[in-house]
Amino acid sequence: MTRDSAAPTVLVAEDHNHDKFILQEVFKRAGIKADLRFVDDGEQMLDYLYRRGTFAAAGAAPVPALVLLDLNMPRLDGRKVVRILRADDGLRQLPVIALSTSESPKHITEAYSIGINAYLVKPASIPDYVAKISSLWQFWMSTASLPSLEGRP
Amino acid sequence: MADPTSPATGADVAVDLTSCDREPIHVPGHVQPHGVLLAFVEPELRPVAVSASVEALAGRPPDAVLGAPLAAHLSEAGVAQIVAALASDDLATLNPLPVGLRTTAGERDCDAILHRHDGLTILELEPRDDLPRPSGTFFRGIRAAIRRLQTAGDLHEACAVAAGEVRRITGFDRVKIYRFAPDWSGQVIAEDRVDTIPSLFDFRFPASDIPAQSRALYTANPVRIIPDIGYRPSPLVPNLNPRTGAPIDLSHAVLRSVSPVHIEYMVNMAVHGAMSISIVRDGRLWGLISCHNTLPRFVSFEVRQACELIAQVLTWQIAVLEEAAISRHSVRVRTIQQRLLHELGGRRELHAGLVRGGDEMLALMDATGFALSGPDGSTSYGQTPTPAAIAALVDWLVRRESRDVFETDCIAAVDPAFAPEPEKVSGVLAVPLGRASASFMLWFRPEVAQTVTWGGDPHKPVRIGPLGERLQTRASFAAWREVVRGRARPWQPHEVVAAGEIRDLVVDVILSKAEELEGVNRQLARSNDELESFAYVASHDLKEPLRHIEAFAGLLKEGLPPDPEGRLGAMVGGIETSSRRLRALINDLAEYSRVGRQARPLAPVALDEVLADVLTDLRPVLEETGATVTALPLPEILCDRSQIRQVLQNLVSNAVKYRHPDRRPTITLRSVTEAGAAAPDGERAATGEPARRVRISIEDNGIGFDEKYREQIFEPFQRLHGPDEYEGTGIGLAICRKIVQRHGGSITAASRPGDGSTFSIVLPLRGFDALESLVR
Repeated sequence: MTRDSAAPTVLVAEDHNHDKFILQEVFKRAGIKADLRFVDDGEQMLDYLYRRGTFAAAGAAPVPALVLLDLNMPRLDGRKVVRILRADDGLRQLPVIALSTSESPKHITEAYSIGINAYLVKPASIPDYVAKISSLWQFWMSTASLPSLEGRP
Repeated sequence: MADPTSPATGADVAVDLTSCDREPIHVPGHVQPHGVLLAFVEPELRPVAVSASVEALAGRPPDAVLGAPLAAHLSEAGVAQIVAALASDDLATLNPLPVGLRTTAGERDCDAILHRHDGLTILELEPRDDLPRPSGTFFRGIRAAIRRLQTAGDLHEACAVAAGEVRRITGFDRVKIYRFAPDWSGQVIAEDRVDTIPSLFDFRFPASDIPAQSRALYTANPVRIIPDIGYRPSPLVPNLNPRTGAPIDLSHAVLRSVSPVHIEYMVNMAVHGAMSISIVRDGRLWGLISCHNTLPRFVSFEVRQACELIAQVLTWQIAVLEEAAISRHSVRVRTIQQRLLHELGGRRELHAGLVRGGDEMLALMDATGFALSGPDGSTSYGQTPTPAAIAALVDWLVRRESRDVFETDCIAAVDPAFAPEPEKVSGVLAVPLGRASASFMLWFRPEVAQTVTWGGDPHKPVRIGPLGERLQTRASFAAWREVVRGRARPWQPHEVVAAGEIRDLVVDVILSKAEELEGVNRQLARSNDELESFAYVASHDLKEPLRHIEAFAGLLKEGLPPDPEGRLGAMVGGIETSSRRLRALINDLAEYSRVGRQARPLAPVALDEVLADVLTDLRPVLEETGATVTALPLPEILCDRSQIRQVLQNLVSNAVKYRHPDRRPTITLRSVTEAGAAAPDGERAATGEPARRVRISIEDNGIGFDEKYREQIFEPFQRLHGPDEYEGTGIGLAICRKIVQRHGGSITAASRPGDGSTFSIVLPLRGFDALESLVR
């Protein structure tokens, strides 16, 4: 994967290879220049964010501008990860977007209540998916102003 | 009836009991003159009272006997016997003692009978004169009589044998066995007689013929004899018990003089010698062995004792026979119960099981009708009152305080409304299923129009007779036949017991059914959980690969190489449509499995409003197709609003979807309130019958369907058309059926292909109670 230092980093926690592939394709077709970094589960995600283990090397874990998080992941579940992030002074500001297949109002409410910034239902159709990701990117990268996360330990 | 010792009348009971109370028959102050009564205050053996008959029988005036030593009037050996007997512990068993009575004309051979009562010792002397003392032949005869009694196969045979043997021993003209009914009237159930005396067999006599006070004496003193009805009573001199200062109590005396009223009764019956022996079972007077002679007749004390023995053996034999009958019955009951249990156990529905076992239920109780009545109405079998009469009867039973078994042989006596047709139902045996239960098992018996042969008209008004204030005795014993109506054969004690056993059995079955139901519920809950997991799997795990397939197909479609023939595009399109269909199937299946799981409590819902919502939702498609929907007013029912809404929505949209290509859809909704079983609150519709269900029909003029599919269309994913003809997975009607069933209702469909279809939903108006269905 090419590292474009100009492109914002997006940390994607996604356990399924198909979904990783599809998401990359969707970003490509949406014409988004982003540095997509994938982790397989919650533990890896925390390793990434705290630069531990395989992410300890300098430059191995650039600070993400956005986190896309599948709530249902093996090992450390997405919900628990969000709770940990929200309890951490340094990472509390990080925008976290939940990716889910569930349209259940119960699941959506629950996700917002633990402190996610947006909830996105994965569409089955590629054109829909592209449209959703485009508008998501548009909002977070242009419309909204993001906190600065540089300089954190 | 021959009652040797008490007043008897043909008058009604109340009057007679009063008369009985007035007449102190145990202290008559007289004895019969065929013997002598002497009373002592032990240890002194000098008479304190003597009957005046001593003068006629011994030639001594009473004054000469009073206060004189016994040896002055009785043989030496006799006195020795008496002294020895009085020293013994068991006076009664030594009777009679052979005693010589010294008379002016020499010594007279007498039987002395001793007893102690009320502080007095009473010695009664019965001259035997020429009567021979009992021989070995006599005792062999008694043994033979007892053997014959013991081999009797049933009650009537035993009684007939007893009557015959007593007559053989005593030589009376007529010996009859008289049996008391619970109301103390009585009937001659066996008789042995010479041809010259009229038969009284089968005759019935009112209770007043043998009043309570006489019955009490009969129970205490089992044998009575009046050798000559025409006797002149002999007074006691003096009639005073020096120990009590009261008249001498002759309750246990063999010579006791009887009431003049009774004498008159006997004379009217043309009887001049009489004897009776009591049959006492468990302390209660069961009946009498009653002996009559047209001429005066005396039988010795030993013969009377032999008759008492026969009565005793008869009593035992009656008990043995009754117990045998009960045990035969209970063996039969057991067999029938087993069959019934099998019948009930194998069936889910109690009512159906009982009706199926109806013949057994009837055979068991020797009844002609049976009903099981619950709060929900009754199930009848055989000859029973109308459902309305049963309901009224049960209502009355419920209002009774007691939850005991209720039995009557004449239900009309309680309320004629319970048995408008007594010839069909007169006897009722009602067993409540539980202490607090309003459910009853009822058995019915028809009227047995009995012809009762009264010994004289028992309904004759009271007349003042020649004995002044006392009641007129019966003048005629000519058979007086009366037909008794409105009465069934009475329920026997063992039948009442059997009914209780059946109740226990049925309650057991109900309880085990409840357990079974609980088990089924647990199982259902388990399979519901499984369904829930399945629904989750369906909506999540199945959907994920499907979503990937769709996504990849989408990616592929966007990135296809040049494809002039469009073959690749068609293939990708095939993947896409198949995926969409698979997604629809998965969604519908998940939805189907959710029905009932997301159960909300039932609430009153106006179906009119629900339909209005449905029509608003469907407005676009209704307008697009030019459909007309006509709805007659719909009722309010107890239901889950969103589910019933889904049912109506599915049915109305189906009606539009399967419209006929040549005509605009016309949809008509109707509702009919249907009568059901009795509602607990007694709410009634215009028909007078309680309204319980509503039938909603949805009729269309669409393409219809072949009626051979009328069941199949309600199965999940059963479709009559290809997916290319009509959209949908075929889950809609299955969901409808599941919802309707969950509400305790049913859904059916009828159609004429090409003309249209009618779907009918039947729902309970007031909701559905699963427990109620238990007793169904």
